[in-house]
Amino acid sequence: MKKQFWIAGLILCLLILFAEYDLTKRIHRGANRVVATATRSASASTNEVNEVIANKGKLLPGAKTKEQGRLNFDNLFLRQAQQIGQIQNDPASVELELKTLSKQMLPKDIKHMREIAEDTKNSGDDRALAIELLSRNQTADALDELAGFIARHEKSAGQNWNRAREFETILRAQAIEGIGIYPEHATAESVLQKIDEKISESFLKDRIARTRASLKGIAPTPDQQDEQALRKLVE
Amino acid sequence: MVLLGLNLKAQDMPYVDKDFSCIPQADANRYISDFSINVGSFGGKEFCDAKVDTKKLLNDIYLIEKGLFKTGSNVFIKGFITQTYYSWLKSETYGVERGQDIPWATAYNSGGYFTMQDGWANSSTLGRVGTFIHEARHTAGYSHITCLQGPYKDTNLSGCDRDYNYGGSHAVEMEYYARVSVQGSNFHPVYKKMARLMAVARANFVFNTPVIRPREAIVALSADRRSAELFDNNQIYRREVPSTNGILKRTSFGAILFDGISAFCIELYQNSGFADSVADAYSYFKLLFEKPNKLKDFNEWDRANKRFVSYVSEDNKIVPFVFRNGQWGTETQLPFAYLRSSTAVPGSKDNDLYLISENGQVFTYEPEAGRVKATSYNWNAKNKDVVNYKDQTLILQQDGKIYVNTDNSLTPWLQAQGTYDGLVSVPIYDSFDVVKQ
Repeated sequence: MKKQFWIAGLILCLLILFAEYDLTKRIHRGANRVVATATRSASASTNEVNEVIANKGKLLPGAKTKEQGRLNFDNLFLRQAQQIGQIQNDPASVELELKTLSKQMLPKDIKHMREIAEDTKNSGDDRALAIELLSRNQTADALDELAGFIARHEKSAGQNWNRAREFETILRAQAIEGIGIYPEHATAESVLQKIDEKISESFLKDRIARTRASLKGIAPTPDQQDEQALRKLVE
Repeated sequence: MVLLGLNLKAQDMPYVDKDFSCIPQADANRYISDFSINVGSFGGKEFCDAKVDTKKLLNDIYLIEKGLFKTGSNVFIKGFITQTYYSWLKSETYGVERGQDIPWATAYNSGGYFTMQDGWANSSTLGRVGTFIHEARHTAGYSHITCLQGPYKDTNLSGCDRDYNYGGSHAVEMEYYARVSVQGSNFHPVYKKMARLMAVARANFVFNTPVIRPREAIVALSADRRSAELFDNNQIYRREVPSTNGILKRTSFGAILFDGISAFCIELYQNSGFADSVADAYSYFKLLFEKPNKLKDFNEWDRANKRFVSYVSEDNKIVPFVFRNGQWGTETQLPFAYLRSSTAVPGSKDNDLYLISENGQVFTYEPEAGRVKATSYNWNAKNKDVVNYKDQTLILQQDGKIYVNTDNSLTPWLQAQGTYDGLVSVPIYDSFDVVKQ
């Protein structure tokens, strides 16, 4: 009798453990499904994007609202910004992350990126990443923000040059290149022409001219031209 | 249920993981020792939190040590330093501390002791690394001189190096950026992009002879005005010319013919086969569309790091365009009878806007001050056009021939075999000139 009691107790415990294990797995699977759905409902639409997000598992389990989705983007942005100053053993994977993150942006995120870029109190890495994501987003909203970021530079340009001023110029040069990769070349060229009328800094005007020449198909892209020149310097 | 709760908790992911980018303690302690870092001045020993300046510095050194280049290893800086970046930096650094005693500096090096200022702390990672490498070069005695060109020209700082070959702090810093960009194999893509842009920008900003500079070519209008010749990289290309009157002028996008009212493009990159005159809508000459009255002259030119645009009216007033406001600025009455302008004059290697009077006096114009200044140069009436090109001064004389001016003696420019009606230098935007000397 006692022996039967113990055997029954053991079987019951095993059943409870099995049920717990199964339940845990089901909950986790369900959370990922909700996450993937929340992502699909945002602007990101490629299978590649969803696969990366689901596999990386970096989003909040059970994210169901846009606000929770936005929190995820902000955290992913911060994490990526931290990565800029880190050794990267797989830069190709980072490229994919940047593409994924950029395509995931909602209009609010796009505006937020411009705010990050414009605020000189933010870290240089954060600002550069913000410009990079706007560049890779390649929507009309992002294009507008890039253009505004460059054009407003003239108002704050002063006489006294220093490294901080150099960095402001570099960020605008990065933004110009971002406009240069906008898929509708005629639109990009037109935007650059309008920006060109508003700024007087020779280096930036040179970048605009090179980008416009490449959009017209009469010159390599500015980054290709840069690489060619820098290679001559170091090799 | 307790077990269930524990399992669920194990699925939570960190969002802002402050441990994500910690420097390994052994490496951090080695850096502190190797570089004699005054950790207290940076905010104390901190290996994880990037808000603390100590972590920033340690992270930068980690990047310098672990950064790899496709040449096979993190070895020499070609022509300047023959060690790894890390071992070279270690040998040039006797101590590092944090201060803010020279607020206008990003950092400074006093006999091998570096003091990193607020400007350093507020920089990007790349900016901080570049600054560290830059300062280290000063230990060997390399110093800066007055800037003769570029955006630092009008500051009171000795902020430039003679040229890239001098191998000073600017060259060493720039070479790091260049190597990261073209050879770096384990850097973040944004870090690499910033390095490329920094290298190209600084190539123009901080050398009195820029090492990577916009390419220039020569356009000469044929004497019969039916075509133009483009002289580029020792090649000569024939180009179509609009069938219109007007003088040949340089623009930010190439060359145009300006007739006092309109500007018409000369296409530099290819021939279309059509004789249509295309109004210039690319450069600032398009601002002409806003000025229907005939003008004596219209120019765009660069000085230091700025682009200027101005026109001269029929009643001898010069007016600048103010980009910031998007409109024309205050006019200045010219104190002489205006004849023409030129981007160069014999005897000066500087490109500028030179205003020439009817009696051959040469003036310069400062648009922001609204000031016209006399120079010691004189314009020879035999000169039709003068340009600076690849460290030479070329003169198109009234006889239609192009000469090289050397110490006031003229020799024929052998590349040009014909006779011409106009001569300008033009920017070409498909590549750079690299001048390593």
